[in-house]
Amino acid sequence: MLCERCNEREAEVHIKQMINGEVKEYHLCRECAEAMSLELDLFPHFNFDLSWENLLGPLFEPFASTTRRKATETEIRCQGCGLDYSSFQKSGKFGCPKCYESFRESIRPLLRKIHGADRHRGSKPDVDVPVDKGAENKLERLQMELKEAIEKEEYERAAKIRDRIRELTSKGDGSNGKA
Amino acid sequence: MAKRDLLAHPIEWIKGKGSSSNIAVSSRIRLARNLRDFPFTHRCDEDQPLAIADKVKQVLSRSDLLKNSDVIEMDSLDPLSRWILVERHLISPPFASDGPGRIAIIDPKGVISVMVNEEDHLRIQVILAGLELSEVWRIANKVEKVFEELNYAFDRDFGYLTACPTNVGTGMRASVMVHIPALEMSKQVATLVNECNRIGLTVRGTYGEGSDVLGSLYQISNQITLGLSEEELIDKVSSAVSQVVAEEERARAVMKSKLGISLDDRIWRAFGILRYSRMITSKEALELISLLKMGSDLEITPKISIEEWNNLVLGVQPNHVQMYAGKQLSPSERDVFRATFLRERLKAIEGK
Repeated sequence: MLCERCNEREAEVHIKQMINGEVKEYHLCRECAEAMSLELDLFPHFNFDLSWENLLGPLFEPFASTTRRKATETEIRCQGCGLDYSSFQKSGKFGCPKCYESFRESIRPLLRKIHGADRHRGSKPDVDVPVDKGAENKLERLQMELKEAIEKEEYERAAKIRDRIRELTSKGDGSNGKA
Repeated sequence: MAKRDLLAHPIEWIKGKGSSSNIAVSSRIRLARNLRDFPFTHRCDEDQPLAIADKVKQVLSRSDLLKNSDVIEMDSLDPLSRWILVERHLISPPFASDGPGRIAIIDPKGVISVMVNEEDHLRIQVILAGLELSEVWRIANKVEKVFEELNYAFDRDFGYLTACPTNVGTGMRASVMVHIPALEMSKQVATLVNECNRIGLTVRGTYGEGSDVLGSLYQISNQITLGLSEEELIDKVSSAVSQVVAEEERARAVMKSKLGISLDDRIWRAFGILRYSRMITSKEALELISLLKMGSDLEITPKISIEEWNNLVLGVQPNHVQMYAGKQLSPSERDVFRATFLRERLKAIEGK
C-alpha cells in the first residue's frame, strides 16, 4: 500500500484515531507521518526517535477518544503527592500509591495496554483494606463481578449481583454509572 | 560485615538440588510491595527511606522466619562487595548503587533476600535450584505475610500498587534460569523468544532486564503481572520451562548423534583452554564453562556436579575474581587471576 499523503513511498504507519465516536484511518509512510504529526498535532507523542521512553510514551497516552479531555486531565494532580499526569507520562513512574486513585480512569486503558487487563485477580492482603469508594465505584465493581460470574457460569451469583446493581441504580445514587 | 563473609554466606540454589536442575538452574520469584503511607522510593525525601528501613527492621526482630537473617546496609559496603551480591543474584543491579535506607535482608540458608527501598519499598525475592516455582511461591508468600503488618498499598481493582505500572497487580515476577547451549548452537533461541512472547512470557539475559546473555544462561519470566492470579502466572512459566528443558535435551541428543567426534573435539578444546590458558576474559570463560557443563552432561568430558559448575560460573565473574584476589584489579590483571583460578579448578576436576 502506498502512503496516502505522498503516494510515493510505502505506507508503514497505520493509525486509527477515534475522536467523539468518529473513526479516522491514516496509512502513511514514516516521513509523512512524522510531518503530519508535527503539522496538525494529530498524533500527540508520535515520534520516530525510538528510545525506550518514546516507545512507552504512546502507551501512557489514554485512548484516542479521550484526547479531547486530555487538556483537563493532565492538569489533575494526585491528592497524595501532587504529581500531575503529564509528569507520570514522562517518567513512567507514579509518585505514590494514591496516584492510582487520582488518575484511576486514565490508568485503566493504560493497564489494558500493558497487561491486557485492568483488574487484579491474584492474592489479597489478609487484613481488610480500607476503601473509600463512592457508589459509582461500587457499581462499577459490581458490574465487573457480574461479568466475571457470567464468564465462570456462576449464574446464581450473577443473579444476586444483578439484583444489587438494580437496587443501587434505582436509588439514584448510581446516576453516574452506565447501567 | 567483613568482605569474606559475603562469599561465605551459603546460597541454596548453588547446590543444584531440585527437579531438572541440570538445565533449569534456578527458580526465582520476586514480589514488589509498597507501604501505603509513603510516596514511592524515587519520590521519598531523605528521611522517609530511613523510616521505612526502621519499620522493616522492627518487623524482622519479631519474625520467627526472618529474625536470624543478615541485615546488610548498602551504605556500609564498598562497591566491590555490593557487586558480589549482584553476581550471586541476591540483589538487583540497580540496588547496588548508593541510596539512603537501602538494606538487604538475607536469610541464613540463602533462600530469601529482601531489598528495602529499591524501586518499590520492598522487593521480596526467593530462589531455589531447579524448576521449583510452586515451592518458591509457597515460601515467598510466607515472607510476604511477615511484612503485611506494615500496611501494603493495595487497591481492590488494581491489586498491589507499584511505582511502575508494569509491575502492578500481583507485583510478581516468576523467572527460571535455563542453561540451553544446544538450543543456542542449533539456532533455536529466536524461535524460543518468539514463542515465549506469544504466550506473554519474556526471555532476558543472565542478570535480568537489559543484561547480556552469558554462557547460554537465559531467564524466562512472566511479562504481565495483572489480570491473572499468581498460580496461573506460575503455571504458565513452569509449563513453558518444562518444554524448554525437553527441547534442550532433544537438541543435545540430536547434536551428539549428528556431530559425533566434532562435538567431542569442540568440548575437549574448551576443556583444554580452561585447563591451561594463562589469561581469559569472563565472556570467553563463561562460554567455555557452558560447553564443559554440556560435555559433562553428555558424558564426553569428566563429570562436574551442578554445584561445582555454579561455583565456576560465579567464580569467573569480574567482582568474584577481584574478591578472591583480595584487591581491585585492572581488566588484564583480572584475566590472569581468572585463568589461574580456572586451572586449579579444572586440575581438581580432571584428577577425579
